[in-house]
Amino acid sequence: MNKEPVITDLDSILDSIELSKIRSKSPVEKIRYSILLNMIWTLAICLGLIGLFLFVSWTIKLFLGIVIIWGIWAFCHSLKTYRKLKQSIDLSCNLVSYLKGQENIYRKWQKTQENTALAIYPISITGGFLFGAQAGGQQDLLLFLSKKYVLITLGLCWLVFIPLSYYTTKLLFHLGFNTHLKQLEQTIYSLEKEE
Amino acid sequence: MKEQEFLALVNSCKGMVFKLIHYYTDDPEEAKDWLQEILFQSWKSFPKFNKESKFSTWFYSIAINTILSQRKAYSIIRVEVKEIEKTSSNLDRFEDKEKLDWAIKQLNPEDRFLIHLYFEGYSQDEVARMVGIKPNTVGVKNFRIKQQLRNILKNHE
Repeated sequence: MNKEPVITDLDSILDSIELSKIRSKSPVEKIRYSILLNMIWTLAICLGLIGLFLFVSWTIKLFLGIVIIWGIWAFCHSLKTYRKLKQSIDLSCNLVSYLKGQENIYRKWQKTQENTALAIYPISITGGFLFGAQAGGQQDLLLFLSKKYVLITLGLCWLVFIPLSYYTTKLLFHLGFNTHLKQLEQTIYSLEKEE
Repeated sequence: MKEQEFLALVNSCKGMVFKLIHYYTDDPEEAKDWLQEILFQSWKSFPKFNKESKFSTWFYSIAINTILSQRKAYSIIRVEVKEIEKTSSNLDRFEDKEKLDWAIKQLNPEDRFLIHLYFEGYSQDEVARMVGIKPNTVGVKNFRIKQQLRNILKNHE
């Protein structure tokens, strides 16, 4: 039997630690951090779209406005979720309930973001389509939209870009959150198995 | 509550938590990470600390829950017990502490802290409150863990 090494450095940590500088490595905290990054990106994109608002015709402004409003809503929704996810362990309920609660808060957020985004993709694609037309020299966008071949092209854009955007969003959620979520799920699973 | 006052309270009951961490890792770096995580969690939770209970019990609960909720999958060591054997070993009076510590480390993570709390003298009710399971379940689990420990010790005799 090997003699276990004695942990002697822990005392020195207590002597020198600055609590405000510690960063948590818990999966919940990492999910919170990823949501924070998501919020920063949403805000940056919204600001970019607001900047673009000044240079486009009123038809595009209509679509752009809806996308911006959705962006602001998505930001607020993320902020609410960010604040709901607890930074520290809640001792008022058992550990499994606490972890499950945190997981549910995250999953609900992801599902809402994915589903509402699905409704906004056609609007943003149409806005982008019209922006392209304006950049290409089209003066009357309503007249442009009334042409049959334009409507067919727009329909094809929807067919291609709506699923593409949806699955890209899913992929981004997967890349940003899956590692932490898996860690959380594994912990819940092993704790439940023990109960 | 100032940081220094909080750390003074932590210092008053650090031994128990150091020992708990020691049950979960032999790697000094990982041990430091655990301690920092426990301090982070307890510092953030401290405003919710109900001063009617002992700080050490509360701090210990945070430490256990932190370790259980964040341990890495590879640190899970499971011991298969093929059959439960009755032995005459009395774990409460077991004298080779080093050997007992080693045996505790062979248990799965959930069992390690339960038996640790048992040896620290916490009652079933207190443990149940700390980890959020029923007192009866604590009793049943402790009985099973002690049998596992006896088996582990017996196999290494």
